[in-house]
Amino acid sequence: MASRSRKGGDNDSHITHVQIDGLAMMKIIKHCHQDASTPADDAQGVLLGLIMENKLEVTNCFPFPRSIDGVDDDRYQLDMMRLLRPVNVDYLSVGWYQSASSGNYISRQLLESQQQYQESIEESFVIIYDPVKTAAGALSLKAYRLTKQAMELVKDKGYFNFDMLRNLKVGHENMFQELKVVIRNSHLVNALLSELSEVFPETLNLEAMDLGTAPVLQRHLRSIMDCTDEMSQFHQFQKQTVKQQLEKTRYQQRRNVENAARKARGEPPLPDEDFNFKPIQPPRDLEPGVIVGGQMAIYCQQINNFCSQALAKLFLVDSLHQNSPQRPLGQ
Amino acid sequence: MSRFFDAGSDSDSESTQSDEPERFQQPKLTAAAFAFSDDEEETKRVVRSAKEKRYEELKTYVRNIKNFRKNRDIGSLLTNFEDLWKAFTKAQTVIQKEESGQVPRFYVRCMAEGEDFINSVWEDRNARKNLSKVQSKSLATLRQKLRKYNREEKMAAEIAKFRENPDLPDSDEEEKRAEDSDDSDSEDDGASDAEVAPSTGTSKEPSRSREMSKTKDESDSDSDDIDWGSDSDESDYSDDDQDQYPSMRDYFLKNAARGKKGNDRREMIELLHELLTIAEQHNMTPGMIVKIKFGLTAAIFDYNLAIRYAMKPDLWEKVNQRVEDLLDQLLTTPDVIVGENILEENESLEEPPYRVRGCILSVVERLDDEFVKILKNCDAHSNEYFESTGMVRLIDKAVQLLESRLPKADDAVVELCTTPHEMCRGYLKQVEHIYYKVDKRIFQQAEGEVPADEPTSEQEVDRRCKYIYSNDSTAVLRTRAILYHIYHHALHDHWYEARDLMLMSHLQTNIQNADPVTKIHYNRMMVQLGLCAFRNSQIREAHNALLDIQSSPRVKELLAQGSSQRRDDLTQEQEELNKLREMPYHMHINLELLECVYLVSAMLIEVPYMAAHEFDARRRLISKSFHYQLRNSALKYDLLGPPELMREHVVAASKAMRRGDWRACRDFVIDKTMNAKVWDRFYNGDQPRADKVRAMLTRKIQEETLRTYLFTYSNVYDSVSMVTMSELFELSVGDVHSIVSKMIINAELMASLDEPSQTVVMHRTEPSRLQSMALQLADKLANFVENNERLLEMKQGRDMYYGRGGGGRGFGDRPPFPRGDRVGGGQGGYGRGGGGGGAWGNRRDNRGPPRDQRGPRR
Repeated sequence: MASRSRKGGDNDSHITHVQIDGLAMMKIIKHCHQDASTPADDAQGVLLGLIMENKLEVTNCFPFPRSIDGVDDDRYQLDMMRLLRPVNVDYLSVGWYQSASSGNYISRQLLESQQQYQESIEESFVIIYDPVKTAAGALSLKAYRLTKQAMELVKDKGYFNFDMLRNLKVGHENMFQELKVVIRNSHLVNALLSELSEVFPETLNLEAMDLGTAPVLQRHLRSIMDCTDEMSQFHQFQKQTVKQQLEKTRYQQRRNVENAARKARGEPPLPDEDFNFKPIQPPRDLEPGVIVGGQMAIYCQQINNFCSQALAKLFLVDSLHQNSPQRPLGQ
Repeated sequence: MSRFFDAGSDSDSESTQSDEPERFQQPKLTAAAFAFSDDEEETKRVVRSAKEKRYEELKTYVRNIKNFRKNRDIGSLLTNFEDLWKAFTKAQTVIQKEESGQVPRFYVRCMAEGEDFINSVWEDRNARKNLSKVQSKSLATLRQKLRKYNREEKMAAEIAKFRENPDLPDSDEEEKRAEDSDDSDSEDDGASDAEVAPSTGTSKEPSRSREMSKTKDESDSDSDDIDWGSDSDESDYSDDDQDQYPSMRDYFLKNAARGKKGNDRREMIELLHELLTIAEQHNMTPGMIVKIKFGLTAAIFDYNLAIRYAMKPDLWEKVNQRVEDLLDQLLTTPDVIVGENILEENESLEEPPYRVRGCILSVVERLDDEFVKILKNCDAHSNEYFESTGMVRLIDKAVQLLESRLPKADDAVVELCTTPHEMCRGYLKQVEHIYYKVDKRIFQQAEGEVPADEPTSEQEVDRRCKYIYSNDSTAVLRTRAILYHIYHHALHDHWYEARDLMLMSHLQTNIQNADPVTKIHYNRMMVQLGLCAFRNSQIREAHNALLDIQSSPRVKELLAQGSSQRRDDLTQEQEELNKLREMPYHMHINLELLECVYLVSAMLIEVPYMAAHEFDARRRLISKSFHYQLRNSALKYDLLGPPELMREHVVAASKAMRRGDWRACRDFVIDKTMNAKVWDRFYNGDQPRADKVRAMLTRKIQEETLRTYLFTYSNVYDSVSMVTMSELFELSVGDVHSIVSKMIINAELMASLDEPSQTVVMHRTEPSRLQSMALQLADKLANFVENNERLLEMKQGRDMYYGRGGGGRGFGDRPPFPRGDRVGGGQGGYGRGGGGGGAWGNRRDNRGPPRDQRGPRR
């Protein structure tokens, strides 16, 4: 893996899209849905596959066990890969996947683990699968990798300070690079499917026609509100910092004036020691600035998408119900 | 009898001297009678040698002290002084006998010089510095001790006398003393008489040593009395007559010595008992007897020194009898005037009208206090704990007495009659014993079962309180009277009277400044008022009255019904004080009942409110503790079983109400356990009346659940039939109509009534959940943006002002969240949305549905 060449560029990778096997995808979906019943933490697993020129092929995957005491995660991973090798499965890890309901996936943990992956395997990426959205009728599968700046940012353990953010010119909008996901089935599978479609009559997929907009929107709104609250905390911090800065400058000026006076009198100047201003602890490593911002952006985007879809659907229904009594929808 | 008093000019010493031979002739009786007897007899037997021995001892010490003084050996000086004091106390008896209490001059000289010496050493700082550590330490101790010793009255007097002419030689003091002894003694006694007379209870002047000497003296004469009392044969009679005078005197002296150390309290009681028998046997004047009885009760009260401990019940019983006796006598003999304001000199004990100093009210009050303490001390569930009616009877008698002495129009000497203040105190005491008791007749009277003119406790309380209102000059008594009065009203469901009295008194404005006991009574009154309001279906009032008490975790302490938990912030003293203030068990208010009533009223108010303001970001909590209970039950258990505790019942009921299920709610609030725990306790378990409360409660639950139902589910209805609702909630259509109308008038429900079809037509102008959330979000974002801009201004302002470019930490030159393409949609949209939201919010009351602005189009 280490021998793979690396071409720089704006997107600092030659990988343009992710190709995922039907099997791997089904496994991810199965795992995520099984784990969705326990909301404690998200389902996670390892993606196995190959790198082919400018695409990443995911041919298989396996889940991480729920953290059980005494089981070493790394060990388990290695063991799994070693055992998969004899059965002729691609055993190279190309990334990992995680479930996330309604887009609440941007977190520090995600950043850190992705950074670790990308550190060791340059091309690795993370697939985010959203079971809630899928249940509503649209398969939601997204592949992300960190950008170069984000890598720099996360690599440094003292990251998320203002200077770094400024130097790297990183914001939530350019932390992730999204990759196109292509689902591919082998010919054998295609053949099987077409055979099956003859056996089973095609069922109507009506989930996509769900008109219940309110719950989804409500959920998103609530999440945004929570984010806003966190942002306000961040504000609070900023305000305090500015105040302290002001105070510091004022103090310094006074000291300067005094020192000048002392100089004029021929006395030694007062030491320029610290003015016992404690730096104010930023709230949780400035997460609000970057992570929460990114999270909010994702929510907004999702609402946008959702609304455009829902609106279309509603218009559709409206034309169908031309004669029915007036009644607002979505309540 | 008056001849005893004529003989008053005789000196004490003479009489005792005359007694002395007699006393030695009957040694048998002294055996068990007093504590000092052994010692005394011994000293008597070896009288001369003992004197010499003691004096010898004292003198050696004095000599030693002189020597050490010269050597400046402070350590030895200290030990010597201590020994000397010990020796002196031992020698007291001898000195007493020999010199009749006069302290030997050499001793006084030693003390005075010692003090001078110590002071001089103390003053001399240089010398003090040179002393060793041990030395300087003992110097300090000695200085302190000596000072203390010399400052005692007796010594101080002696030293002062000594200092007047310090040069008299010690050697001839003995002779001098011998000459002096007689008249100095009589002088002394005269002084003591003068001293004792004006202030019986308060005089604290007599020094300890003198007091001791007196005690000694008395115990001697005491023995005579006892002896005399036990074998009261006729032959002794003449002798006794003479003896009685000193015993009377002793009484006064005793009284003067009251409350001081070294005074045998038990002995005192014995003595007074004896005196009483004597007095009665000799048909002394009622004045005299009353005086002695006063003394006797006081003595028994004094027997128990520590205030915080209760008297022994048998002892109390004894005082109780005594006081009753005294009261009876006072009632039967109207020519005895008792008063606090009669000075000791003005007492006339021998001829009518008798005047005796003493306050019967104080005695009764004290007795009552002791009674309460006894009650608090014993187990409330045992058989001992019964409320004796004796106390009430006693108080009634005392008040009767006071009433009989009320000033009449033709009375010339007003100051000897009962003052209004005393009367108020008496009445208050009476009320104190009535106010917390439920008088069933009052209820029956209200229902017409008992004729209206039958006297009830209410009239009694009323009459007395009104007297206090009009006659009391101190605010304290009046405040208490009002509190009791309100309590009594509230107890008997006279809600409006109680409330009006409460409001008129303006108690709540200045109760902060009251003393703790009054505050406790205020709390009790408030609580009782709340309960009364609840029974009278004034739920909101009940909630308000109980809110303050229930929102603190220290309900028990506030009502003085024991401390809720150990509190570390209290000192020992405060804790004891709290203990003292506690109410006896029979006056307790049931705390569970209290809490339940509070929670149920909170539920009836809060649940509809919660339903109405579900999405309101700024909704406030009406009752914090109710919310606490709700949250608690949700957090504590993963699985909710059927409720067991009272609180769980209320929580379960609230949830049922929230769902709009009034039957379940009722069944939770009123079921077997709750009945046993709470509802049956109303009216002391008077079932028919408690049932009325239950019926009221059911009705309230129906109403409030209907309201909750309408709030919660109005958005799923286009219209609701009132008939259906009345069936659903088992209310009459008229009631439903009135409730719905009220909600519409208060703008709580956006609907209108359609009379012909008996339906409520919803206007659907309430924002949907989504809409209200969007509004909230808009609010939040507006705030956020505003803050952000202010922050930016601050930074830029700073930068401009100080002329420092880019001084910030990187946010100055770049807005933290660029309005880029992705976020732009959201943020740009906000401006319109916010504006629309505001306009929309204003139009809330309009009936036209401004639906177009928000939410998806159909």
